[in-house]
Amino acid sequence: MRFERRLQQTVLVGCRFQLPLQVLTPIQQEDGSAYMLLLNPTGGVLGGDRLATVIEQGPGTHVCFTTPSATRVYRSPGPAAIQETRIRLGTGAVLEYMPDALIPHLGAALQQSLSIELEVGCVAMFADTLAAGRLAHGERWSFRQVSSEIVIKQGAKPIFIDRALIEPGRIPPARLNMMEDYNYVVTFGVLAAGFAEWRDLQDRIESLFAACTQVRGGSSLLASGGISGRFLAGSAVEVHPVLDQVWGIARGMVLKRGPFMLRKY
Amino acid sequence: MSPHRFLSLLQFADGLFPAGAYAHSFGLEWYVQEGIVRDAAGVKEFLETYLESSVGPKDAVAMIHSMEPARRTDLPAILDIDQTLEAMKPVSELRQASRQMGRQTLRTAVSLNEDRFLEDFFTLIESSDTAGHHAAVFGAIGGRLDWPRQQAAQAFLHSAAAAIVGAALRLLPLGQVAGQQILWSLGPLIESLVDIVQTESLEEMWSFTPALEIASARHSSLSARLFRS
Repeated sequence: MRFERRLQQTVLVGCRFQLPLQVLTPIQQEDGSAYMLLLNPTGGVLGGDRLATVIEQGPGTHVCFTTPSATRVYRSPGPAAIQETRIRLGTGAVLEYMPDALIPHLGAALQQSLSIELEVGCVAMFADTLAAGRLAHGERWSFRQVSSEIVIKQGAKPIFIDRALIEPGRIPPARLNMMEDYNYVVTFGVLAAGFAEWRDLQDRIESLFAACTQVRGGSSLLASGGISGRFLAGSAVEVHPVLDQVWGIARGMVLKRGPFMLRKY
Repeated sequence: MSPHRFLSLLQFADGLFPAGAYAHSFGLEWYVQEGIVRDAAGVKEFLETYLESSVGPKDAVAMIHSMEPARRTDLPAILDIDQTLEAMKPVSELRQASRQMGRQTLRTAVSLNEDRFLEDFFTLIESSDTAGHHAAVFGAIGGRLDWPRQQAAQAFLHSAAAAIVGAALRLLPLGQVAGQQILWSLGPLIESLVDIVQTESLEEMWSFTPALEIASARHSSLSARLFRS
């Protein structure tokens, strides 16, 4: 997908896809941004899949990406499925990347990576949510392996790297210091050139976590500007309102815009 | 390895070495104050995950990979590793702890032994041109002093565990013998990690301790603290 800014609007100027990935027509927002659903009509990732999404946002573009629903990773006795997303932001571009949770089924194996490259003057907000499994089916940490990587670079310099390897058969994730009794982990981050109120943003996020006792969360200022954090929750019902509020706080302070009302259905 | 090489490894991994580890609990203090870690069994469980899912696959791998570039005086390679560690430590308290220990360790190293390579590395840390994370510094010193990789990994992981045990003895009603028993019990885990970390590439460095990172991020909000992290 390639986006450009034309007449104060972010428009999709080029796209190519191959099923099981599908590119839908972006929904133009009143503020000139584009809202894009990343669709996999098969409803999940199968063993042996290699799914690659490459996104180029031109200078000054603003795109919000999400998924229609959670991404299921099906059981696979063979090699791990691979899901890669590479996003490059031109000067002054704004990215909001808020996919739904990843739900690895019993016996699933997945290598997931998200790479975001920033030019000068960019804003990037992202979240990544991992579930312990299909809890309603009694599956909890019963997948084979999930490796997950988020790499954010400013030019050639890495400014945020989160790389996890979860192999429940080797190291049970329910252990102390890891997931304990929680079933969902959300990792989020906000990077914004020119923004200076990081401490205030962190205070507001920490106040939110203090008020939301159903989750356990914490945030921290990054070395090169920006904020990242995680929170743990017991269920998807607990994840969504907290993540929406974290995102809403960041949108309000960094972009001076109200919460994004996702329309998925 | 000459006797002096072995002695230098013992010295740098010793609890008396002024790296500043005594000032940090690496998240343990939050767990103790929350009543989640209350006894020796809890400390051991804390340490197992800390070593197996954080220090081992991330810091120890970085340390091992810093040794060879130091031997061949390749400072840019060390700086790349240091930069990667900086990006992989998003929690401010843990990042600052690693930086502080790295700076203190290297400051002491250059005062003990004349080494132009380590002096140049230290100058870049002092001028804030690089972060100076403890793993990169320890590996660089090990490379210069020709420590064997296996023993360096053993010593690095052991000293990381010993620092947490030291914090636990101050936070909980545990005796010295209990502390030594915890450390002794971790021997097999450390040995298995030593084998793993020597085969992992830099691109494979990982950690997965979300609850520990949250504890470390929330540590600064505790009303009374003994430790800086």
